[in-house]
Amino acid sequence: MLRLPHISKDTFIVIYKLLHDALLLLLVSFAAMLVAEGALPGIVSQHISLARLAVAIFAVLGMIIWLGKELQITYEKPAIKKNKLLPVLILFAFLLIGNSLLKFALWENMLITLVTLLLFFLFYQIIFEPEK
Amino acid sequence: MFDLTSKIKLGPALQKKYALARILLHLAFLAGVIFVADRVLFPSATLVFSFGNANSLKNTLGAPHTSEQPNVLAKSSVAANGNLIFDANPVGNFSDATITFGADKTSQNIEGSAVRLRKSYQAFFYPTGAPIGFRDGTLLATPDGSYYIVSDGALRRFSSTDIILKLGYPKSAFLTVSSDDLRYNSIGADITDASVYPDDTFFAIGDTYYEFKGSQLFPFVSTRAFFSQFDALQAIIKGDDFFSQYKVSDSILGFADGTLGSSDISVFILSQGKSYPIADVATFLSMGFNWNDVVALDADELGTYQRQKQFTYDQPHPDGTLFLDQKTQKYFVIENGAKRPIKSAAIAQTYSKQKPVLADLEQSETSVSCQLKKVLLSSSTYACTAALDSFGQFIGNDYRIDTTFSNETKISSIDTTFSTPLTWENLRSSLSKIKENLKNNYVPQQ
Repeated sequence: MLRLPHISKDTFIVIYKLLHDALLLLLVSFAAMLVAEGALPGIVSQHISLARLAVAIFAVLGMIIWLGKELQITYEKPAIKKNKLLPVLILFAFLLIGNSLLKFALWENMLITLVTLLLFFLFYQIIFEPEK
Repeated sequence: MFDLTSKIKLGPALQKKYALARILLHLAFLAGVIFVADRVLFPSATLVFSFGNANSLKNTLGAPHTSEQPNVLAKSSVAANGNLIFDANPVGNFSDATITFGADKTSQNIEGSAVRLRKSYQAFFYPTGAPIGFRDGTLLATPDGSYYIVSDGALRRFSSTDIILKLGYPKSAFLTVSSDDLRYNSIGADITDASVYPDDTFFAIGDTYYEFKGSQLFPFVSTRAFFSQFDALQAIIKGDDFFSQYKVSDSILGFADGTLGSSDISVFILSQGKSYPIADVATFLSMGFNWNDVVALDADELGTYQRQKQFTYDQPHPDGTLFLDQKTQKYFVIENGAKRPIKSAAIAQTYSKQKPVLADLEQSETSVSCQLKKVLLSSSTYACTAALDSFGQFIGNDYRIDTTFSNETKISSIDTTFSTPLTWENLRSSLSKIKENLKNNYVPQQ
């Protein structure tokens, strides 16, 4: 049961949907700021706190989780491997890591970036591997 | 539009409300984007000082002082026609500055008080001191046939050329100067004894250079350190047996004051036995330093210096820094809170091994001003805005703000906001700076 009786369930569903929209906008903003910071360190962080934006993202996520539980909205576990966004995200991570290693020689840069991505993939496998 | 919750279906009425709320959310997001763009493209910086918490780290303005006592924190109470001077070091270029004084409620009206701003380097705003003379250890000859050594700041004349030969000074090391050039050093006692070396004589023993002082030999940490100030010719070559006559000091001499040294990825300013690690690239560039002037130090060289806390952009250049006025080509040496001019070309020649920081005396004396007005709806806050456009590309990272108060007052706080108004010209200027920075980051430098 919803713990806020004065607001209708429909309103909470609208808020729930809006929170997802806000989350998407915040994530896109965060990614854009990361790109800008990568290209020109300090261009954004000198004026706007990235930490505050990260806190806002976690706050929205927290509210989504809480409302989802209250509204008893459940999802099937997303199949990350089949997600169309995955190649885009991998490319984004590749460029971001590669950009931060510009001072290295090209082959060193590529090697470190690929090894880093491989490590991330292995971590993902370890964390999300279904329990036997 | 991208919908993360497409599986949650709403009724027509609710869908309408959701669509409306979504538009509002996107408008709010757009406002946020405009806010960030405004901050990035039209930056502003607010720097403050509170007399109530004068030692607080939250004070971002330089400590206010008076023209009479430049090194003492000014009292918050200022007499009529009294002045307050402080420095502001905002990072970036700004088009105007608003200076706000919070006065005690019982203070008299200070409307009309003049606020004057100038731009240069903080150390270059130091008062002009006495002209500097030749460096210690310099060997000089005048056309009338007199020979001198600069010892402990004073000119000491060799009473005869015989003494010079007996002591072993190389004749070619004597710099010929006019008698006029000598007037910037005090006169010391004549050198009459051929068995005693005057202080600040240099020796080369083996691979090491030494400075003679108080009957001791002070070794230079490396030949590079010696060459950062002197020529090899200036040193008298001696053998190891010389050590039996004089004790070698434990104190080791380093590079010329004001030298920039690097170790790993850190760059240090070396001055008077201390090394100041420069906080970041922005600080290095804002102080007018040149990457080509940085000497890569080895562990022994850096080890002779006592490491200090980080050198940030709001600190003045340390003692020993050499400034070159770009218009008159005159040099100034920073020493004990004063900039001491080098008045003679011959003296400047002895400082030629040091790399100067480019400054501009005329620019440092150019000012913009405004008059304080009472802030609307406030009884004791006064502010005025000065346009900084005329400073254009002035050299320096420091704004010197000088206020003369029309009446007796007690200041509680100072707030200085540097801003960039929303104009096409400023937008173009910001975008051009971004383009230039991108080029610096991604296009290999020649």
